[in-house]
Amino acid sequence: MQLNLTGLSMPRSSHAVTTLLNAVLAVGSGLDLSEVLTRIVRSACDLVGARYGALGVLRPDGEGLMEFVTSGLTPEEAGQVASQPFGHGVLGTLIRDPRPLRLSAVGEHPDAVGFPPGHPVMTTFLGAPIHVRGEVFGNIYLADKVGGLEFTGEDEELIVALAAAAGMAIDNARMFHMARSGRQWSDALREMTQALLYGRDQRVALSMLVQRAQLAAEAELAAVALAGEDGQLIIEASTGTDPRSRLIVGTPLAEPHWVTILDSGEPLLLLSREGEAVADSLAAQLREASGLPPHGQTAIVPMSVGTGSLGLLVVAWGEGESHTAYDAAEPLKQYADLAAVTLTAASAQRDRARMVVLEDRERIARDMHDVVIQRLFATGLGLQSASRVAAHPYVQKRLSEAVDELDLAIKDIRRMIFALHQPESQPLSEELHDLVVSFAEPLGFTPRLTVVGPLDDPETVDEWLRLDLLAVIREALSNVARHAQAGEVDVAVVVQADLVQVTVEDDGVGMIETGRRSGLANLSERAAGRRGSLVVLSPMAVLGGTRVIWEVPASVGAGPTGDPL
Amino acid sequence: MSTTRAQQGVPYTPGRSGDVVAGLLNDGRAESVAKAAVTEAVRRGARLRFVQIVEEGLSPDERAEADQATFRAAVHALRGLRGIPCRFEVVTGDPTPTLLELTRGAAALIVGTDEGTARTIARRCVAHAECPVVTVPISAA
Repeated sequence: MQLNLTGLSMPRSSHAVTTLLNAVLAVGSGLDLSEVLTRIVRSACDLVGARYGALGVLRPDGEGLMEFVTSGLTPEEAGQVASQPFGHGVLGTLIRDPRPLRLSAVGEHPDAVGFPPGHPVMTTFLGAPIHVRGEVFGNIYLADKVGGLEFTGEDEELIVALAAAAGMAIDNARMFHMARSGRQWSDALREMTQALLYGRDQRVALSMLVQRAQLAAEAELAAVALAGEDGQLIIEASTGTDPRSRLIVGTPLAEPHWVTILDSGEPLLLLSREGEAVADSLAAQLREASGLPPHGQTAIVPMSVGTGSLGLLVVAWGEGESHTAYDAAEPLKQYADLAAVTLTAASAQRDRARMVVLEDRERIARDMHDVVIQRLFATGLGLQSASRVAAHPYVQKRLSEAVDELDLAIKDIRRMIFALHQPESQPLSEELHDLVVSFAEPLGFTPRLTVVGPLDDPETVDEWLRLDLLAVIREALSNVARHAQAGEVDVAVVVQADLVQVTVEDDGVGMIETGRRSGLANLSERAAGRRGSLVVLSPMAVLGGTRVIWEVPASVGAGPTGDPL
Repeated sequence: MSTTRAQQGVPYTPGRSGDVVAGLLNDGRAESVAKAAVTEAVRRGARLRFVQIVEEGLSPDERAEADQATFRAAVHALRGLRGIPCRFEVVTGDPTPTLLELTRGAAALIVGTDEGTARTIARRCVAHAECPVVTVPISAA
């Protein structure tokens, strides 16, 4: 495209050329599209001395206008014009036939339909199309040349020249916007993947994910919901212009339509307008809970990897941001899909890291078992035979003490080996639950488990106490399974006021006839080692049932069982 | 170049022309009606309103099931097309008057023309609607 200045056929004043050049410069000096449009209209009015000017932007189907920028109207008139449908009458003529049009009386044109109410009456008219990259973008409309004159042929040529410059300015503004938003998206993608891959905490990484999405999409709200193992979608992170947007974290998205969108893998852009009923709108509740008005645009974007989706990215805008939402639709989908891939990779990475740790522990445990324990055992045997031949009773006593110490050391090491085999991350309450459930088969039913207090707090229940608790419950339950012929077992673990209490109660045959002492001795030992107590209540045989109460102090940085002091 | 304006990044704002309304019934043909509506909305750059009409007297479960089925059909119809603003509505009542009321100021109404109910609705809408009506025959399914 070029400015066809040489094609201006009439002799013209240097003034006109100067005005045109100024207008061209003014039009080309901005990069914001709506500013550029306003400037084009003003420059066009100045250039030919028109009282009223307007720029109509063509709808994508080319059959009407979707935007109408005006100049010269009072605010009331502008409001009136904005509320009317655009592109009827003579304005429509230019839409259908995009060629310059100059009229001395617009009302006398065969296509004229009269002015809508509130619209100022106009007489002289000059219109010209604006082309951007070979397509009609819209039209410049000018009316009422100052001084009651008609628009001249020179005016027409000036406007055509200005329209060419306007086309380039619009193209530039659009390119600039695309480039800037492209850069914002690529920044967002990079930071999101880094946060997800290298971040230690997934929650922090997810809040980074929504923050960057909100920024790049120029949105008012961004939230991410991930599907759990049961398929339930739960909002994991959320950010927005309103502080309430953070309150929706943890909310499940229970409405089945969310899952339909998740399964389809296709993003949706919902738009509801002021005054419309919102009862049926999927997004309205989410928007309102986040402090946004129920109306506006909401994109729901599945985070797809392979054939499935991990979750949904929900992004919301106000009602008037239709361009922004449309522009963001494609990059948002790419962003969400990359997030899904990255989340999958990060989880695989964590699994791998956990695997490496487990393998390492396995090796240490094997070494301790095969090498250290065997050696200690051999030493113990050596000492034992030495004590038999030792003549002095003092030496004998010391030797047998040393053997006992070795026995204790071996026990400790075995316990540590056991601890090394445990995955570190599972909370104790879950581990207890798994343990209790594992007795469903030997018992014939699942014992009830009640947990009260900060059991998962490592300050209250340290590693050693944890192992004791698991062992105590395991032994108590296997006692019940072996001897009690119970129909019900209640397991309660209560952490209260620096005490940890385990109660295992069954409705079986009771203690007296059965003599199941061996398991109890073990429980008693473990209680004594922690300066705690073991109480076994077994009523008369007629009543049946046994209650085992094992109570020890909570850990306060205490060492292992059998504290040497 | 054969790219559309929408592909060139021209704003796809719903125009002044009003919405394209898809009148969906839970009769198994909702997806072909929805597809035709999507095509029409893309052409016009209009917002797409999926209006699902539920007969009166359905139990909440039946209503939810019908809602779910037509929603799925609409989501399928939108497959591969991004950034089309849409809206989903469920309306209980007599289909024809409901559609006529809803399409006041709309750009177009898309309905199916199956045998039976749908055909009657389509015929009445063509006769009385203020906007152009596109009817989707069974063969489109």
